[in-house]
Amino acid sequence: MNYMILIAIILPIAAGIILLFLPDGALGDRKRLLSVTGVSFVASALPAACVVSGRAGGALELFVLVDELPVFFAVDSLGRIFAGIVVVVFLLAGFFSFVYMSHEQNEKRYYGFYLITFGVLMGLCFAGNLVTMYLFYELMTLASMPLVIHSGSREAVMAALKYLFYSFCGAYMALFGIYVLYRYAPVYEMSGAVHTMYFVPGGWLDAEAVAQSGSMGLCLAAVFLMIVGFGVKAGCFPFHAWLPTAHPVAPAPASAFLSGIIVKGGVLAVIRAVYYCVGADFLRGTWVQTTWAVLAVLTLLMGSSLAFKEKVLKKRLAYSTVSNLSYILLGLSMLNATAFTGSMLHVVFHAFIKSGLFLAAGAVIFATGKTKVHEYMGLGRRMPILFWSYTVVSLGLIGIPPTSGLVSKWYLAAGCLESGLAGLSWVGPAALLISALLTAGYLLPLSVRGFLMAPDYDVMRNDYREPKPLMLVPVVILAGATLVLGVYPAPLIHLIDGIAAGLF
Amino acid sequence: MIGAFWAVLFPFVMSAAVWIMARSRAKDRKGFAAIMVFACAVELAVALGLTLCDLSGVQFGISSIPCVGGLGLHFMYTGFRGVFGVVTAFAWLVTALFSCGYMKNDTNVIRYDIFNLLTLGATMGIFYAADLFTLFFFFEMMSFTSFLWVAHRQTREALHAAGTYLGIAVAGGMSILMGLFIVYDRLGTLYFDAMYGQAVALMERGAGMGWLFAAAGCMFVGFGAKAGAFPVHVWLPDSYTEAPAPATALLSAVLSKTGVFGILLLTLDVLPTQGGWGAFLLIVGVVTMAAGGIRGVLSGSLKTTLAYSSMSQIGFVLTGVGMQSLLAEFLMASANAGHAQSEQVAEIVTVFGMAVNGTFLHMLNHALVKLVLFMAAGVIFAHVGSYDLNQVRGFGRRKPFLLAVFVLAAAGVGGIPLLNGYVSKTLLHESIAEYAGLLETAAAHGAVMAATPVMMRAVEALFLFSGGLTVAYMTKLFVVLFVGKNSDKKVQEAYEAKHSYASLPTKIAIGACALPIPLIGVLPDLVAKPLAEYGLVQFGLSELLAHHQDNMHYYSLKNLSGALISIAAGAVIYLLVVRFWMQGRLFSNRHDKGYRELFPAWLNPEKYVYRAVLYTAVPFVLGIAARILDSMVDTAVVILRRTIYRDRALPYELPEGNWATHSIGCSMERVRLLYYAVMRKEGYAPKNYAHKLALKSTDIFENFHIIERSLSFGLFMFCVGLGLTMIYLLVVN
Repeated sequence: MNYMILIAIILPIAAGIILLFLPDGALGDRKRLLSVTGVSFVASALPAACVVSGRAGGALELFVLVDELPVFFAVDSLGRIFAGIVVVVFLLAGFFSFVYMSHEQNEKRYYGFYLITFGVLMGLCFAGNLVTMYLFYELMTLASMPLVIHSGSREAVMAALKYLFYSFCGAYMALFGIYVLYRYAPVYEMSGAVHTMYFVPGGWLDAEAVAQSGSMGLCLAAVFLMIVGFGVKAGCFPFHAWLPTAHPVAPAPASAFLSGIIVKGGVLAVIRAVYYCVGADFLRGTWVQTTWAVLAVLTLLMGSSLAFKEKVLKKRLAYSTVSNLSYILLGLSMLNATAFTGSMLHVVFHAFIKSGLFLAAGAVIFATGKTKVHEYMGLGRRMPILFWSYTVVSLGLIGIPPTSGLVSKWYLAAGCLESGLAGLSWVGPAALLISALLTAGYLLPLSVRGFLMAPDYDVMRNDYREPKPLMLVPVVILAGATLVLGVYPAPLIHLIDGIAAGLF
Repeated sequence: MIGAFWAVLFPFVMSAAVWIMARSRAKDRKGFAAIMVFACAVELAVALGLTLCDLSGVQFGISSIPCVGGLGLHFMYTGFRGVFGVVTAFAWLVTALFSCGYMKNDTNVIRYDIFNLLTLGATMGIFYAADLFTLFFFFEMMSFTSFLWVAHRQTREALHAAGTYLGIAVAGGMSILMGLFIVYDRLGTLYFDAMYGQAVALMERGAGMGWLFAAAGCMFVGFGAKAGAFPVHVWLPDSYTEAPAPATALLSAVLSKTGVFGILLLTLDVLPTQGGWGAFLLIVGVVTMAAGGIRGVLSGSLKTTLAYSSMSQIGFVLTGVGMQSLLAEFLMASANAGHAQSEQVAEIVTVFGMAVNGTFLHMLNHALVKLVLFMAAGVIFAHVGSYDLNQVRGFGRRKPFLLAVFVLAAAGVGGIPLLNGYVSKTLLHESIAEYAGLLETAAAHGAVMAATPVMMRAVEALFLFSGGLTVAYMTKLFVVLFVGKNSDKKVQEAYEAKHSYASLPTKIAIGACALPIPLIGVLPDLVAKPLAEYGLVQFGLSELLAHHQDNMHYYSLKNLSGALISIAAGAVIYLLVVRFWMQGRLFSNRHDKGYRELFPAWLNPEKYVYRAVLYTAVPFVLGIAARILDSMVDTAVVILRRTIYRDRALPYELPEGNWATHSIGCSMERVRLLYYAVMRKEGYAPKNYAHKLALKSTDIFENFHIIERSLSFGLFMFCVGLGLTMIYLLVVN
C-alpha cells in the first residue's frame, strides 16, 4: 500500500496537467468543465485522505538522485496533520471557487494549477528527507504562482514576480544551509542502499562533532539561514513583504488556499529542518534561538498593526496572516513541548480560520463588489448566515472562548513562559495579547457595521441576498470547525502531544 | 456533582431554543416574553435547589467538564457562589418580568432575549467557576454577549458607547489572560483551592512575589473595568445610559459584581496577606467612591446619576476588599510576632469578620437597590422619553407605589438606619475605624504595616464623606421626582393624571426587589448575619472567622454616629451644591432655573484620554513603526535595482520609428524645451522631432529594402567579396 503515497501525489498533478492541455472547446460548456473538475477534485482527495487517515502509508523510495540522496517519502503524524488540513481546505475552497470563478476568465487554467498545487503539497507533506522536501518546496512556489497571476492584470503580474523573487531568495538561503549540514548528516544503511539527510524526530546534528570540527559558527549561521529562508514562505520578517502583495490579488478561493495552506508549507519546512534535522537541543540557548524569537515577535506586532491600519479587506486579512504565522514561528522558536503543541494547534486552527475569513470576504465581494472595510454597513442583515460565520471565525482568530484561538494561544503563551528565555518569556505572551487586541480592532468592526449600523444608500438600493449554497456551506463548515475545535480540542492535542513527545 | 454545571448550561440551551423558535415561528413577542420569564424562573429554581441541597448537607465537590477550551472547565459550589448564583437568577427573573412591559414594542426583542440568556449562562459560569480559567472563559463570553445590550438601540450614541464598552472589555480580557498566564506559570495551578497554598508557599520562599503582583495588576485592569473601578470606569456612564433599562439594571446589579468577585478571589487566593495589594485596593476603592459620588451629585440626568452611584457603591465594596487584605496581613503579622496577646488576635479577627461581612452584604444590598432604582428609572423613561432631570421633574407625584420603592431603595443605599445599606456601611466603617485604632497601638510597638494610621483616618473621613455624597445625590433625585413640580404646568398635570403607569408584572418585579431592603435593615441579626455567615468566601483564613462572630450592636450610639455624620454631610452637600450651585441661586435672583449638568465636558477621560490614546495615538505610532519595518527589504531591493542591477524599463511597442529615432527625437525635444524655458522664456510649441525622425527613418529603410532586393545590390556584394579576397591574397603573399 506504500504506492498510495505516490498516487496521492501523482494523481492530482496528472489531472491538473491534463486539464491544462485539453483544448478549450473539448469540454463544451461550463457545466461539463465543472463536473469534470469536481470529479477530479474528489478523486484527488481520496488517496490523500486514505494516507491521512492512516489506512495507507509507510515509506517509499522513488529513485536515487545522486549517491546517497534518494527522492524518498515517509508518512508520519506531522505530515498527516498537515496533509489533513490541506485536503479539507483544498476541497472547501475548490468547491467554493465553482461559483466564485464564474466571474473570472480562464477557469480551466485556474483549476489545472489548483490541482497541481495540491499534488505538490501532498509531496511536501509526505517528503521523507530534506532534499525531497526542498524539491517539492520549490515546485510549490512554481505551481502556486499561476494562482497569483491569474487575473493577468499588471498588479497581479508584479505581485507574482515579487512572490517568485522572495520565494527563490528564501529557498536559496535554505539551500545554502542544506549544503552546509550535508557534511554532518549521518549516513544510514537501508535495504542495501546508503541514505542521508533523513528526517529523524529530535534531529541528527551532533553538537559535539560540530564543535570538534570547529565550525560551530558556520553551522549556526547555516541553520539560521534555513530558518529565515523557509520562513520567507511563512511571511517572517524581514522577508514578508511578498505576502500582503501576492495574496490579495489572487481570486478569493486561491487567496484562502494561499493564506491558509501554502504559507503552512513554510512552517512545515521550518519544523522539518529544525526539529527533524538539526534538533532542538542544538539550538537551545544560542543566538539563533533568540534572534528567531525576536524576529517572530517583531513580525507579529508589525502584521497586526498594519492590518489595523489597512482599509482593503483582503489586504487586511493578508497582513493578519503575516501576524498569525509569526505566532506559530514564535512558538516553534521556544523549543519546548508546550510551545510546540501551541504552534501545531495554531497551524490547524489558523488554516481553518484564515481560509474561512478569505472565503467569507470572497463571498461578500462576489455578491456586492465592495472591497473596502467601511463599505459593509448593514450588510449583515441581508446575509446573516455569512456574517455570523465571519463573526465566529473572527472571534476564533482573536481567541475569545469558546472558539479555538484561545486554546492555541494558551499553549503558546504557557510555552513562552516555560522557556525561561530572559525577557522574551514574558514579552512573547504580552506581544501575543497586544496582537490579539489589534486583531479584535481590525476584525470586529466589520461585524458591528454589518449587523448594527444602518445600511447605506447602495445597500438599500441593491437587493443583496445570501450567497449560493456552494459558497455559503464551506464558510459555515469552517466556522463550525472553529467552534467545535475550541470546545473539544482533546483528540488533536493528544495527537500533537504524541509528536512533541518524540521531539524533545 | 453536576448540578452547578446544569445551572450554567441551561440558559445556553434555552437561548438556542429561543433562536430556533424565532426562526421557525412568527414573531410573537408576548410568547417570547413568557418563555424568558419561564427560563429565568427555572434557573432561579435550579440555583435555589443547589443552595437547599448545600444547606441540607449534600457535599458538592468539583465537577469538571474535561478538555473544553484546552484545560477543561471546572465548577464548584460554596456559600458565596450559591448566594450570588441565586441573586443572579433572581435579578434575571425580575428583569424578565419587567421587560414584558418595557420591551413590548421593541422590534429587536428576540435578539435581546437570546443574548440575555447567553449572558445569564456566562454569568452563572463565572460565579460557579472553580478555577481561574473557567472564570476567564465565561468572563470573556459575558463581555461579548452583554455588548449587544449596550448596542441594542443601534443609534449613533449607542454604538459609540458600545464601541467603548467592547474596547475596554477586550483589552481587559487580554489583560486578565496575561495575568492568568503568569499565575499559571508561577503557581502551577489555577484552582482557587490550591492557589492559596501555593501562593503562601511562594511567599515563604520569598521569591517571585513581584510576578504575582504583576499578574494581579494585569487582572485588576480587566476585573476592575467590569466592576467600574476608578481609572478603568470610563465605559460605565455611557453604556449604562444607552442600554435599555432592564439591561442597565443587570449591568449594575450583577455584572459589576462579577468584576468584584474576580478581584475578591484575586485578593484572597493569589495575594493572600499581602498588605501592599490591600493598600492599593483601598486607595482605588476610596478614589472610586469619592469620584463616583462627586460625579453623581454634579450630574443633570437621572440615569447618569444612578450610573455614577453604581460606581461609587462599587468603590465602597472595593474598600471592603482592601480592608480584608490589610486585616489579613495584620492578623498574620500579629500571630507570627508572638508578643501579641491572644486577646488582640481575637480582636483583629472580629474586625476582619466585619470587613468580610460588610463587603458581602454591601454587594448584595447594592444589587437589590440598583435593580429597584434602574427599573424605576425605566418606568419613568417609558413615559417621559428622557432622563433629563428637568423633563422627569414631578413625574413621581401622586404615585404611591413608585414613591415607596424609590424611597426604600434610595434611603437604603444612602445608609439610613433601619434599611439595608446602613448595616453594610456600618460594618465597613467600623472595620476601618477599629483597624485604625489597632494600627495605632501596633505602631506604638514598632510594627510596620502597609497602611499607616494617618492614612486610615483619612480613609475613614473620605468614607463618611462619600456616604454623604450618596445621601446628597439620592436626595436630589427624590426631590426632583416627588417634591418638585415640572416647569411646564400641562406636563405636570399629565404626569399627575397617569395612574396606570406600570403594569402588574412590572410592579411585582420592582416590589420583589424592594422587599428585602427593610428586612435586612430592621433585623440584621436574623437576616443579614446568617446570610453573611453562609456567604463567607472559602479561602485559607476563613477557618478562623467561623468562630469569632458576635452579634454587632448596630443601633448603639457609636455605630449610629457614623451614619449620622454621613447624613449631615449629605444635607450640607445637597444644599450647597444642588440647591445653590446647580439650580443657579448663587448667580441669579430667579427663583427656579432648573437643573443643569455641572461637570465640565472637557474633563472627559473616555474621549480625551482613552479613545485618544488607544484608538488614535497608539495605532498611529505602531503604524509608523510597522510601516518602516514593513518597507525595509522592499526599499533595499529597490535601491539594489537602481544601482547594481539596473533593469530595463518594460519594453513596449513604439507607435512609429525605432528606439534610436525615438530617443534621439525625445532628447532633441527636451533640449529645445530647455532652451526655450531658460534662454528665450517664451511659450514652446512642440516640434515633434521624434515623429519627424521616425518618418525619415521609414523613408531610409524603405529605400534600403529596395536596394537590398535588387540584382544590382547582389552584384555589388559579389564585387565587394571579390575585392576582399584579392586584398586578402595580396596581404598573405
